[in-house]
Amino acid sequence: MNPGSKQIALAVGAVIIFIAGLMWGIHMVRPDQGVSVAESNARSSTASTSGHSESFNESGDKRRTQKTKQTLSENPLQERILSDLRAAMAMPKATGTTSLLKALEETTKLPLTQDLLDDMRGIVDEGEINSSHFVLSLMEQREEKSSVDLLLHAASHRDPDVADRALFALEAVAGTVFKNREEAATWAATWKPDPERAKLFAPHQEPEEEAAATAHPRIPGPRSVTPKNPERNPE
Amino acid sequence: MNIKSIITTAALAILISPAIAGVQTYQGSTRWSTTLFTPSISTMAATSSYTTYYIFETSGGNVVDALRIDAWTTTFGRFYYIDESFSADYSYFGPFGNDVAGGMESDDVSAILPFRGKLRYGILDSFSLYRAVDYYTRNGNVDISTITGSARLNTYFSGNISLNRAANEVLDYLESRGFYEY
Repeated sequence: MNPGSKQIALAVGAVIIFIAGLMWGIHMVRPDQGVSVAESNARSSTASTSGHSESFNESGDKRRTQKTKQTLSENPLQERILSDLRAAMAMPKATGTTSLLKALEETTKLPLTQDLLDDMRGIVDEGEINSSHFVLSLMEQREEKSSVDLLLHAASHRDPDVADRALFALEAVAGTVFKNREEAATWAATWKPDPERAKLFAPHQEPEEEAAATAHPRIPGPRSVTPKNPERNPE
Repeated sequence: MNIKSIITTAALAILISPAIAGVQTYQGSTRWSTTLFTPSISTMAATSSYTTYYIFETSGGNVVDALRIDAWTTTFGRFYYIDESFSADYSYFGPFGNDVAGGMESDDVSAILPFRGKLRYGILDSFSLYRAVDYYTRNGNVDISTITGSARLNTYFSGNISLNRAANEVLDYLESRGFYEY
């Protein structure tokens, strides 16, 4: 074969290989996901045969699942309180308010997670007077950015009773009086929780134990106040 | 800066110092759980939340008078209640005496309600009222099972003024928002 024929044969061979490769590629790619079957097969075969049996994503998912299960199982108190709260929320208003208020008081033992915040917001948005005011009281006592955000959200509630109660709560946190919701919003935009207050208003600790641990009996306090009308408070 | 201006500055600082402010007003939320029962007939649990104003009149660092005003909303209207029998007693704890712990007595409630607070610039800045099991001594049909709450210093109603003036300012404010005496 002369050199010219050799070059032509090589070029034709290269074109055939290219076309074959192109056809194989089109056949093996799933149009819906853009992931090759070969890659998918490689994943599954690796998963079934290899000692390192999971791809990165799968192992990540498994880790997340395990972590979630672990978190729930490690926090049975949180699980129980949230479960009770949601059960009370699902009850009819006529019979469920007392259970709901009781369940809400229990939430003071928990940190303000997004799940809990979503439940609180749902109760406020619904606007039943007793439970929504109770939630606003609980949110006021939390010294957190997210609880103040929820109060600000409630301050524009359609029901003026809820909106005004939320404004009271914002005023309590701010330690002053606001003319309207906009003034409260301006304050809230720059407000940051005071760590000392946040600690004070954190979910309930055992006050007696802590007071005993830090007691400083040599520093005197103010004397007690004599009731103005003692006969109203007989012993 | 000459001596005269130093003395003037010092005098002004003393005049505006919160340490000599006559009245501190605290605003916060309280929640009361009660059980209402009539023997052999019915039992009902009730839980209420209030916006509460605690007003302390002080002299020389001592509380000489105090008042509590509760405000709340029902489906029937907005109300406030003035507790003139309210009293408080507290002591300083912790490093540098910056923590405060004490008790409060409310109208008709026989037991002490414990609270814990923080000092700032020498005055009580905020406090948290801890859960207390309590009861009404005058009414056998009402049992208060829990009282909790918190409050922070509200500078708007505080200052070198009398307790009556601070109370009237709180009441004017509440009435401007549609509250009436219960």
